[in-house]
Amino acid sequence: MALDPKPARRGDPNVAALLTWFLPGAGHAYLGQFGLGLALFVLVDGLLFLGLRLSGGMTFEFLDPELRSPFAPVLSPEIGNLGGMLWQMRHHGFGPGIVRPFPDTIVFGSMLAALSGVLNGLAMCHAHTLARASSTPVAHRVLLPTAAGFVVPGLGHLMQGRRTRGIIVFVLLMGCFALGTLMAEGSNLSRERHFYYWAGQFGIGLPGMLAELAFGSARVTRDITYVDGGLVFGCVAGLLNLLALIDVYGWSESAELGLPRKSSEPAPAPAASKVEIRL
Amino acid sequence: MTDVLVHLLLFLILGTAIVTLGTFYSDADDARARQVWPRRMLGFFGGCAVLILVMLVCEHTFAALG
Repeated sequence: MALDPKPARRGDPNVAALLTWFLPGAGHAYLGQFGLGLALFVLVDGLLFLGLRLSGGMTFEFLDPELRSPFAPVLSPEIGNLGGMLWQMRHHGFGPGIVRPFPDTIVFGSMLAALSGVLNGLAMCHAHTLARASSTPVAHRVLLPTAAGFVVPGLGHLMQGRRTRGIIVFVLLMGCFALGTLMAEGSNLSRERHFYYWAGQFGIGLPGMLAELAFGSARVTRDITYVDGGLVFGCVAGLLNLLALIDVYGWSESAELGLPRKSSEPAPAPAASKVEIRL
Repeated sequence: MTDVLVHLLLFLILGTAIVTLGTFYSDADDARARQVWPRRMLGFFGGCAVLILVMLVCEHTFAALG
């Protein structure tokens, strides 16, 4: 992998990331990448508005009335696209306050809106890296394994050549997710039933989305003995995958930008200098 | 009794996943992570066992009813 011997800053990385958080693509425009910024805006906000259209903007109506507050949606994946989430809150919010039927496509629509938040989170990471990298392909190489880790847990580590770590991540996280789904008998896959557990579980990525599309609308007709345990397993699996994604991002960032790697051991003390200073 | 054992087993599974991912997150080097993993597992489950004991003693001493 090519090291970037002297990373040239195109702009402030934090400003680029914050701009992207408020408006997808704005950080890239700030860094001079107008085409990429426009493409990200269309992709991220396109997904959000398609999701809002399919769900009728009723996703936050899943929340019980006593949970509805201006800060209630903060713990949902949509927070990754803050500007979009604020728009959604302003135009749809928690609905008119009367019980009304959800549209048939709300599961898919709600998932797309959540996905736009995750994608914008990845765009923020890309903008932050791009501000410090010497070229755009370097930022692409940092982000690609991170995005792959969201598609399949552990895939990002495998792409980096860290096979053992990738297998451990895949087995543990997919095992926990599958066991949780079995214990909760699929009820953990419903955002309508378990809004906040679902938000944590969404971090498991594509496997969770596919499972939800396949089994997320199953009827619950009796008490499920281990539903609480199942919800915890699914939620923890998703949150741990976010930790794994940060690990993947940190490794790629170190490799591409020449930064020191993380270790629980303290760095060795520098050798004593033999340079004499004469006053 | 079976229910307690099931809960204990589930706790062991989830605890193992959390400690393992936490260990690998803390160390970028796989060999180093594998080396410290047993100590971290022992620390986590040993700490949990001590906490359980303290809670049982507290329950027996302060919260026993009847």
